Amino acid sequence: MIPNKMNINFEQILEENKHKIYRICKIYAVSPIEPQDLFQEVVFQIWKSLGSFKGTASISTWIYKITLNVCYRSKLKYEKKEEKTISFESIHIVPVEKTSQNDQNDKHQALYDCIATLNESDQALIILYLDEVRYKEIALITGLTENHVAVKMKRIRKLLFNCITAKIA
Amino acid sequence: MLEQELKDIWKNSSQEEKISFDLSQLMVELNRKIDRLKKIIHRRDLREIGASIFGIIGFSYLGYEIPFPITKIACVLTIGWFFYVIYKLRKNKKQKITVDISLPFVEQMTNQKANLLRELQLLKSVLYWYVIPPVIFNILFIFGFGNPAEYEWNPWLIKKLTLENSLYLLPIALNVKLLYISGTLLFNVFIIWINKRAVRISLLPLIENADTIISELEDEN
Repeated sequence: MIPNKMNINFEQILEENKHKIYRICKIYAVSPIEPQDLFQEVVFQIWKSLGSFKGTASISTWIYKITLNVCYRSKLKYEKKEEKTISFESIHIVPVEKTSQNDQNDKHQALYDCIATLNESDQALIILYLDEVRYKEIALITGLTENHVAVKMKRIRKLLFNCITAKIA
Repeated sequence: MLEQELKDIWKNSSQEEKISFDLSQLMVELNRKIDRLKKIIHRRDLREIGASIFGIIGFSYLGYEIPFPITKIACVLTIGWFFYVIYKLRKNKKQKITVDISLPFVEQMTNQKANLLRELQLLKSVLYWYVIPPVIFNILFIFGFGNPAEYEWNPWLIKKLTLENSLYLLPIALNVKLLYISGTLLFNVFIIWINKRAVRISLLPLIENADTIISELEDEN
């Protein structure tokens, strides 16, 4: 059982980061795994690892590391199935009723489709870039050097821009 | 399209869902999941060691009770093998790199690959430590069975279970022994096949996938 002090932080962490976690989960969820399943697993891993958070990096960097690692682990199907069978009923993810923003929805879809065309490691980098994470922080999250991130990002951004321009134009 | 516009599209994409939590219930569910995981690990450990302990007890009794020298030796060797299996499984578990989900991505993938390779090594070596030794001991065990009358053997457990009639099955005829050994060999060929299949279907693709991701990340472009 984690102490009360942690509960407060945990709630705050979830509230502040829930949307960015879910965005990443949506990219990596491949049927039969739903984004909700990945999101729940990320929440569980954050809670489990909270005690070992040393504060050497920002909480945001730490959350990105956990989210990406959980998403990739699920892709590698490394976790035993039985460990994933509990679903948290306390987490509610409800689609917001779509209004007349069809144009916006098309753009979202186009962006997701374009990200899906990138290779797996490029996806991780572009997600962080789109979330406006600085290269220095991306380097900490991925374990690459800042220079390496910059070189890669130049190429990936070009790929993404070409794809999205073709789709939306 | 401007870069900022693209970032906005990305950030707005998660507004398509409303995400909310019931924190007190979530705490209960998280604790429940931890407890469940602990139970799963505990049960897995028990399962792994339980079979060997059961074998050690069984073959200790047989080794004590059966008078035929070769069969006795086979029992002692089998007990030694059961101890080795416990040691091997525990050693493999200790060598596994602990999963730290908050490590940088490349490090996490490298650890994951190392664990997969260790598992691969264990499955590939199954023939030498899990299949061949017990097959040899089994053959010795069966071939060693002689005539109970020559040893005036009247086992206590068989008397207790009033199964004295089963002793008339002894000595086992050579053709029955050969039939039993053929069955044992076939069964073990099946075990090897299952392991090779597990390596081919589940492990190798995972290792290749991990390799691809690591090399893509480390690629200079």
